[in-house]
Amino acid sequence: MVDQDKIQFDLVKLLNGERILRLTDPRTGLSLEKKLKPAEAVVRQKDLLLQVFEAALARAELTDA
Amino acid sequence: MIGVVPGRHDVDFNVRWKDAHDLLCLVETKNPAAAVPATSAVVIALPVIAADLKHHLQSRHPFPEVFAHELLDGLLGFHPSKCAVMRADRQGADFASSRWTIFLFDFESRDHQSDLTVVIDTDSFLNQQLGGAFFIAEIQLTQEPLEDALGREAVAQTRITGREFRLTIRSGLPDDELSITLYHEILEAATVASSHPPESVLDLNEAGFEAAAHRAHQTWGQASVENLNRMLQFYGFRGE
Repeated sequence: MVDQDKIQFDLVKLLNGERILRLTDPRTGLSLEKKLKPAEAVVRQKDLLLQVFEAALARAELTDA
Repeated sequence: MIGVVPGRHDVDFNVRWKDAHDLLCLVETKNPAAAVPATSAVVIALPVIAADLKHHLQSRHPFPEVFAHELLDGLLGFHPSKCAVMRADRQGADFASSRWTIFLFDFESRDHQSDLTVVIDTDSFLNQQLGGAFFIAEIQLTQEPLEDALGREAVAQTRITGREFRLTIRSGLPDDELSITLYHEILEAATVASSHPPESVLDLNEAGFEAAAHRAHQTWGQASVENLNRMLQFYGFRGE
């Protein structure tokens, strides 16, 4: 499991009111973002995105190895 | 921004920025019965040149025409009562700064001046502990158009690295909107930064965060370090 403190989170509020959550691993440069669904809880969406991000990160590290 | 210029005059003024890009502001009396002194003018100065202006005034020099030419792009309208509208240009100014100084000139006395009370000074938030665990490392009010990685126009961005928040907000927001934006960004950032956020924020969606920010602004007033902490404590953030 990745250390959350080492991941960079960007919360971007777009002009049209939509919200983007972007996760970036500064070490590998891997970045993943999602437009948040306005009706869904932010915490749940972040947790799901973090799971996907961790999986992508693990795969990227395997590929690099 | 809205501020009150206390000064040595009999009336207080509301200063409302009409257009942050052109530094166009509307000055109006708070007391409807009062009038802006007919001989007054308002010059908006930025920190870079404020010291020069102060020096000039303290020397009791006549109204500095040189500064008038440098600062004022044009007198758009000047009403002897109720309000004055003026515009200053950005020449030689550090426009990114959030600190402003207003000089209120009385053309008869020539040496009256007042400092604008800026309601929100974004620098005051820096490196102060929030919610027992977080701190704001940077708040940038930017005039430049904000864009995300795909070129979509944005109004605010909060970068969270560990416990550290870096905020970039498009400049020109009225104080109330800036305050609500700060409440919103900090509450949502604290939620996203927490491995185990408090139960009270678990179900908040975007509209929920916005409503929480509005409530915080109504309950505690303009965003400040103290009020952001009150909000975070109210929602159960007490350090991880």
